[in-house]
Amino acid sequence: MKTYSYFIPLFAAMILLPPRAASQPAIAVGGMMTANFISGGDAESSLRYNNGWPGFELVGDLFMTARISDELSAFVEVETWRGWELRIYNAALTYKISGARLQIEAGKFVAPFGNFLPRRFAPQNFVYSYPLYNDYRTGLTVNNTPGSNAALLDGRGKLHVGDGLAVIARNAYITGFQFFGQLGAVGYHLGLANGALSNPTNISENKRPMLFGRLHVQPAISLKLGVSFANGGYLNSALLKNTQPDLQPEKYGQTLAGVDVEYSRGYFVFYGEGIFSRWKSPSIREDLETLAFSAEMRYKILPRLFLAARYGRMNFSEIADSQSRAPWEFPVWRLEPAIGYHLSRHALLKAAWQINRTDRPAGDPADNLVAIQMTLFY
Amino acid sequence: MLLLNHHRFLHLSRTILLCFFAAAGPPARAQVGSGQLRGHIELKNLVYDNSRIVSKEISAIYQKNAAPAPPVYEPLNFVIYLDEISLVSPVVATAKPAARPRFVMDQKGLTFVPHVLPILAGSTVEFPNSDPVYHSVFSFSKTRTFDLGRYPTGRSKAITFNQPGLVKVYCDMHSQMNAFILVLANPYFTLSDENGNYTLRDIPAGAYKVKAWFARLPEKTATVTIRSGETTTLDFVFQ
Repeated sequence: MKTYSYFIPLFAAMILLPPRAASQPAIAVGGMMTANFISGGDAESSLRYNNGWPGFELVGDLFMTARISDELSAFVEVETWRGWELRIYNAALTYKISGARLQIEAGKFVAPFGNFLPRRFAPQNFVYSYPLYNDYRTGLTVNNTPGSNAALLDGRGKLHVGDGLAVIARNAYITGFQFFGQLGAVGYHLGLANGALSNPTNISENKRPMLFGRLHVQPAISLKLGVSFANGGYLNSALLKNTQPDLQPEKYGQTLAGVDVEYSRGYFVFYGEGIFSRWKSPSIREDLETLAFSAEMRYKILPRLFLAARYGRMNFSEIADSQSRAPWEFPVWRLEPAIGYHLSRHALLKAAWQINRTDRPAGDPADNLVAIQMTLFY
Repeated sequence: MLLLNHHRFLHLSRTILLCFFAAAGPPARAQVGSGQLRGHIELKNLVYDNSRIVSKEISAIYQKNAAPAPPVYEPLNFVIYLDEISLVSPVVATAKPAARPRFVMDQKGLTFVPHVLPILAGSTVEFPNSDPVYHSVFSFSKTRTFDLGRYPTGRSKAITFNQPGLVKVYCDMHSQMNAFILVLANPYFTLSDENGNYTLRDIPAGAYKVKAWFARLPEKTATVTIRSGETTTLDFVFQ
């Protein structure tokens, strides 16, 4: 799919379709283009960007919602990642069984987990990056199981790009179905999908479907609270058939539980999340657990100007080493202050400084980032 | 920030307005004899309100509370005003804040009410929140840039508009919400009724440029002569 033939019609559609929405009353179209300049350190780290080489990125998103009837609607989101690779992130049908109280959605949709995923887009994301639990790739991979505790521990603090698993995948779009609805101040989601949140897949890659759910409540106009859970299989068994035919992929599961809070008043907005993740890998004697926190705030100091910051931390459980016990990944935290300026209602410019710290014996790797982001949205 | 409920506030606003115009008296040129202008405004084709930013609504879609909205056409609110005269704004500018005209733009049912609000320069507009959800009113217009932040049901915040011009008003939390405040330099303006008819009264005799304003379309301008004691007719057509 790496071809410019997708790039050109996508952006042509972004430019041409919005005005035509007037003549297509049941369809609404929106789009977004984001240009990033990123420069970071070159140390061997899971948080390293582009081998330490500064670079530009261009990302385009196209959104379309269609109301087919009063009960049935469709939503599609297509993204070009770094300007050439086309990805269909969201393509789902929603049917209202009983108004807003009970609805069903089927297809590919964003996972209802925590409070960041619904606002992952640049205009709603106050800083540049995603939370640490989306960005930090561990030594666990989707297509190669660690042979022993020692093998996993040897990989700590090294570069785990590509197939390294984050607690929640950066683009956690899951394929399946869910029931959801709103009952007064309480909202709920419950469904089944393929894969796990650390490895959501379009088709079932293993014999373990993901069960997920979420409850959220708004006790006051300024306060939203939520709890989420998910349990699914994270292994891509198709990739393992040749090398490990006796593998039982259903035994490789990830369980997630999360709490989240949102508070806002005046010019101040706060988001907080706490996530517990447990991976099971039968060749490792203990469960591989992670505790992740994220706290984020924004304050508008002028109508066009805001200051923001996000702090994230991840701690990992200990597993048996040859002589003692050690965490299966080194503790890591990130602080990302940012400043944003609205050039217009449709254009946002942000600058962020990402400070990454990994507590490892060899010292903290040089993997800090500076990012400048410009977003145009319709 | 005033802590008034909506109905009390509307009543207070009307009272203040009446007091203001009673105190200020009619404009000086009205004393030499005045006439009135009336007419009809026609819009040939409906204009689509394309101000909604779908990409900003994505978050609402993910929260599963939203469905694609039906098409929204611009409400038929035409503002007719006399241009290139500024008779009253100096009076308003020197008035004490409490004596300045006050208007209300409510936030109700996830819309701004009214959708179009013509005001005299120097006037203050209250933005009460009558919805059970947060709103965050803002404008990046050069005429008046402001951001009122998030405030809950029953609260109101106010902004004074001293400079004539157009102010596009939005809600940072609900991208479908938009409205227009047209800040004018003199009191000779009016809003058309639902049939497109308008009447401007007590215009001092003389020759004027008359402008008809409609959101999302270029303004129309015409020249008219008002004669003392007479009614002049002037129609506009927007294509």
